Order: sequence, then structure tokens, then C-alpha cells
Amino acid sequence: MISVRPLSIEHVALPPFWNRNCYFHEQFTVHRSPSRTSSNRFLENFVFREELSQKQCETRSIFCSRMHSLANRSNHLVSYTLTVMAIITGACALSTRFLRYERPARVVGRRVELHHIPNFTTDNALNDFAVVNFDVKVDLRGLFNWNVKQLFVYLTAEYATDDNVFNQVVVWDEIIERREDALLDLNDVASEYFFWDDGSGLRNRNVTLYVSWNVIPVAGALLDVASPLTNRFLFPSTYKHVVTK
Amino acid sequence: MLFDQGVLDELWRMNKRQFLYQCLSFGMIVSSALMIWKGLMVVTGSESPIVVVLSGSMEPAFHRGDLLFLTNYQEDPVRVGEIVVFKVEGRDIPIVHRVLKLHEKVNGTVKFLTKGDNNSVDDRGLYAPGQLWLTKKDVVGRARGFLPYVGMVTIYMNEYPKFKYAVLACLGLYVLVHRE
Repeated sequence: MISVRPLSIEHVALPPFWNRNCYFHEQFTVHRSPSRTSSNRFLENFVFREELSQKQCETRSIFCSRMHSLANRSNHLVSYTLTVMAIITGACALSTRFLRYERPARVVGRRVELHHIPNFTTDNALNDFAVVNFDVKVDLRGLFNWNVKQLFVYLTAEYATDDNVFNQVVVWDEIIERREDALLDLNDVASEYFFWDDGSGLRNRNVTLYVSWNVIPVAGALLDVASPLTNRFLFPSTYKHVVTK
Repeated sequence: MLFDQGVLDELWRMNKRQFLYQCLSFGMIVSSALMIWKGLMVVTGSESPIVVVLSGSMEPAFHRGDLLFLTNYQEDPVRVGEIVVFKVEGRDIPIVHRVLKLHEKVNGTVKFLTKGDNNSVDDRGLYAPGQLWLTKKDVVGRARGFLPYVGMVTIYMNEYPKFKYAVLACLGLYVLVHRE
């Protein structure tokens, strides 16, 4: 007969990560016997070596004495939880880091008009004001994955004038939060924001329309992606409406 | 009861050297945190590389308490659609909004207008009186990374100073008393 003597329950501690503080603490390792076997030494990690009086236990248990103390348990629980959450978040961010978010977005500008009127949004100086309607056709449903919280899709008009070598005006944007809403098919839509030039240099100028999107992740890198397709056209040479001061 | 025997015993048991050592390790923690912050400033080129979103003007992208990681490299240009963090004269707290319009001169000077995703109008009402555009010197950084919720801790700390002191006291006590 092989007799197995199980360790009684009060002599066995929880797995090592629970008791990091306690059992290597000199206060608990008294009188190490010189003849320790390796298995004994291993067990010392788990076995409570010293009998403390009831009073001592109570007073010390609050802070950093025993594995069962409230402070110890909550400390380990909190740090363990935070570690796990940090690793999962990092893994989530890494998992989508190298995905490609480029898609072709077809855009066509329609009904382009120019006006020369006081810019009431700034200083009431006479500025060029453009009216641009447009079509946008793009399927962004494939961009959604577990690390995409929303897409911020916007239509940019880019042009150059004599005053400014580089101008960008956002004429329309849309926030998309669900995959089902990510199939865009807009026809002859009016611009959402005013298209004011900084001055009066829009006549006979080329303008390029293109769609871009900003990918907002659940956690990780913020990406800005522009569609490779653009629509380039010429502004008219005459104003439709002119205000003279 | 908390302090009468347990903790004081621990402190009592330490000799002077040990206590100094603990103070030193506490100082190490503080200085390494400072080093990381200053190091990030150098790497990102931004005067505050990590900011906490305080308002809901960029919802649903950013909510109150979200963390943003910024860079501010002078060589990469500001473009429309980017999320910039900027300071306005007369306001202590920087604003996180998106660039809506941009005009660049031949000599490279850029002026731009911003708008919050959740606001119906642009930011001219938020700028200093008479200010119509932002320029590069107003920009603290451009948002490059995002981490949700983590900034709530600092918001609570700022709103409830007692909570802040309690956390600091607990951390200080833990470092001083704890013996590895």
C-alpha cells in the first residue's frame, strides 16, 4: 500500500502569483534546516512556515503580511487585471496595425458656380464663393473590423491660386459608425460647408476633388487615407452673381 | 488599528540605511516618470505628447477621458482632415479639433480653420476675439494614436483633489513600507 499524505489545507497557499510578497519575507522564514532537498525548497514557497499568534495575524494582515489580507488580494487583483487589459489592448492595436485601408472612391463634381460676394464668415471682404454639387460612390464596408470604431469620411477640394499656392477646403463630411452604413452612393449632393476662397482667385482655376477617410480605432493608431481616384475640373471664367461695394 | 502595530512595526524594523534606500527608490520612480515624459517630448516634438480629451466636441470619435498621443514634427505639413490640438490665447486648456480649411502661401505660412466633429459650426467663436485663423505656432500637436478611458484617472484627480492626495499618499506609503 502506498500511503499518500496530502498537505492539510491550512498549509497550502494559493499559486505563486498570489503570494509574491509573503513567503520570501524574512519574517516568515525561520530556522531553515540545513538539509533541504530541492522538493522541500520548492514546497517552502507554498507552505506557511511560522505560526503567528492570533493577535499578530490580525494586526499584520491589514498591510503586507499575509496572503489572505485584503490589501494584498486587492493589490494583486488590480495589478493582474490591469496587466491583462493592457496586453489585450496592445494586441488589439497591433492586430490591425498593418492592414491596408485604401479603397477607390469615385467622385464627380457637378453644377459648379462662382459668386463674388462679401465673405460674412470673416471680414466681409469681397471673396470668391463656389457652389459645388457632387456625386460620391465608395464602398467602405470592408474597412470595418474589430478595431474600427468609426470612419470620418470627407470630401476635399484642393486648388492653387495666385495668393495661395496650396488650398484645401472640406466641402462635405460624414461620420460612419456601422458597417451597414458604409456603402456611400451620393448623387448631386450640395456641399455641406461653405466653399470660400481666401481672396478672389477661383476663376479659370483647376480644382481637384477627392474623398479621404480618417480611421478612428478602438485603440491604436489614427490613420488618414486618401482615395487614389480624383476628379479634376475647371472653375468657370465668369461669376454668376457679383456684389459690388 | 491600521497603523498601530503592523505598519509601524515594519518601519521600526528598518534601519536608517534601509529607509534611505527606500527613499532613493521612491525618487527613482518619480525621476524615471519625469524622464519618460521629457523623452517623449523630444521624440515627438510636441510640448505635451499625451493629452486627455476633456469635452465631447469630437464625439463619437473621442469621448471625455480618452487619451491621445501627439506628434508635432515641423517638417510634416498640416493638412485638412487632421486632428490637431491647439492653444488659443486666453484659454488655458488646449482644444482638440479637426482641420476644415487650409490656405498656404508661397513662403510656407499656413493658416487654417478647425471644427469639432460634434459641433455644428466651425471654431471661429472659440478663437481669441478677432482671430479668424490658426497658424502653426498655435498647434501643440497632431493626434496620431488613441487609447480609450485611461484619462479618466487624471480627470478624477483634477476634479477631486482629495482623491489625488489619497492616491499619492497610498503610493508613497507603499513604496516606503514595502520591502522586496
